[in-house]
Amino acid sequence: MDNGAGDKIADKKAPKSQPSSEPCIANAAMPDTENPGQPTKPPTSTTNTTSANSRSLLAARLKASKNVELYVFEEDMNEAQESLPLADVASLELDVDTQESISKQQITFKSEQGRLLLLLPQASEKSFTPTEWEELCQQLTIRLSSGDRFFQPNTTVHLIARDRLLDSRQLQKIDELLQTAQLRMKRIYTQRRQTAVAATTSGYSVEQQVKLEHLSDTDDKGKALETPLYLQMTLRSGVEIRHQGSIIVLGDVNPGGSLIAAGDIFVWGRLRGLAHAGAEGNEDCRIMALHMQPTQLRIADHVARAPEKPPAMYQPEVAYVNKGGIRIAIASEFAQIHLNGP
Amino acid sequence: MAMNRIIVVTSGKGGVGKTTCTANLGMALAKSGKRVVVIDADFGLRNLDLLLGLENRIVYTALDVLAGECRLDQALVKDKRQPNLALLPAAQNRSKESITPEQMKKLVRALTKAYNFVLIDSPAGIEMGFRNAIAAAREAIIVTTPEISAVRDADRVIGLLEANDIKAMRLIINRLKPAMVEAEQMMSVKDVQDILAVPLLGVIPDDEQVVVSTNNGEPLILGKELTQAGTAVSNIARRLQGEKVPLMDLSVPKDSFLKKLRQLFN
Repeated sequence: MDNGAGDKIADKKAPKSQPSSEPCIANAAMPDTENPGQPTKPPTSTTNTTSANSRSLLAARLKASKNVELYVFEEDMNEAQESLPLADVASLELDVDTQESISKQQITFKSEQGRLLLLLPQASEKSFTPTEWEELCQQLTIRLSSGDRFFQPNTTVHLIARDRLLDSRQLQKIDELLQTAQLRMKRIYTQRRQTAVAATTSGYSVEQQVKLEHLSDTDDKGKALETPLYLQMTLRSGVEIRHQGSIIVLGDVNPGGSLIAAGDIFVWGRLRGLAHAGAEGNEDCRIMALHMQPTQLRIADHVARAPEKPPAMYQPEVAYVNKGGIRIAIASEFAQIHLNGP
Repeated sequence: MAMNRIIVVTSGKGGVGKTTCTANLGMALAKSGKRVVVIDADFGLRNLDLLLGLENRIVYTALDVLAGECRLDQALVKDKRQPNLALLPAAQNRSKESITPEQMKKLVRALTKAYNFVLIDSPAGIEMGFRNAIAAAREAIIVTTPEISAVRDADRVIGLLEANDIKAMRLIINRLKPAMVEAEQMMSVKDVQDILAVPLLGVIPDDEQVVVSTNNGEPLILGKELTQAGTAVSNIARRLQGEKVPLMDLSVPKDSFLKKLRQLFN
């Protein structure tokens, strides 16, 4: 049998065909008689074939042929690889547009005179992109479910929307989420007229301020830590909790999950993910866990990995910084040596 | 003109072995003396770091670079076992929408200056993550398994790549079970090629050892004695560099007598 398409296709991008001389799987699967006698034709190149075109031709030819062929690529890559001097990695420059970068702030709850304040993160743009809004809702859901036990039913919540644009649908969504924890959204503080209008029509009381000085916590450097964040949850892969204070987790932190705190980190459970204490630069911060098996520990600017070989038994441990970097001590001994003082 | 190579590894369907192929191929290319960077484009579900055993070395991710929080070389995780290989990790706590094709291009463009090969590990699917992964690529490696669903998805992806002007495509058929092919229970290499009509770069047989190497974070290719799958990958790496390497004989041993006879007559 003459194998349907006599000419093989090759252009500069598509390969030259190279009939495999080795027996291959297809032969075994479909024993065919023509195979031994099949002529192996040298590739005749047709230039200026577009790739799409060559694909259909190739397909047509493959249908006619019983043999599977391996294509080897003889591109001009070989010379290129030799001739190109590689730059040093450290010299690579990237002009980044910091405007594009995403705010790392998260939503926060604050209690003030028996009320709860729900602070939305400051936005670089003035409204939410759809994904940012999704992420915010997820964050809120996580925070609400992980702090479930501590919210008193029917606590009043004031939403601090800052300069965010929120439409009534989004306000409603926030309210719905709050209701799952039996919290009641009453008042909305905003700097934006549109948000104020949306809130009024939805029946919330509104306080429109040009500037929320006592609540804006962005400009002041060296400010005091927030009250500790208490979470009861399993922190799964992909969840990141940031807090401008200490974080206490009642539950496990799985690999891929991360805790980033300006203060200490305390995990009453297994710490298997990443923990960064003293994220604002405080080296005196500590990381404590019942079962210290982290992917990575960071305190201020120090980074440490867990030892290659896991210990035979886990016991509560404390990670702290000394002159040599991050050290880990057994919790009970740490208390004796470091806490009681000389 | 001298050009370094930017290759996206993609498949459409999930679980066919994109990441495993990327990790091993990257390691094999690095072993042959090329400087290689593998980029994890799977934001939010990153895995490449795990397969390379580099998870606990990640300090910054591609997103930190783009946000201007670190330099590009600070985010690159160098492999201690193979200094020619580096990983640019993805962020785990973000979604695929947190990076744009433009930003991806920026990163890759900078990296091509320092590396012979830039391998981009694409996420499954054809949404934003896929579009980011292919944005900067000049070539593509399609990974598929000999299953009708994987092949269907691969076909769709090939169409999308063509539409995005990536025409240098090659095919890897992964996880082939020769015995099943012979029993005509599995698609053969030819069946797959019939549909996809993309030049074949290699065939990787199914290998239980892959699971072990994945769990240990030790790419197969680092093993002292290469398994059949390991050899297949190293052959692929050689073909990728223009060498002519014949396809491995994956036929089931019991047929070997017949095979030999046939070869005799050839």
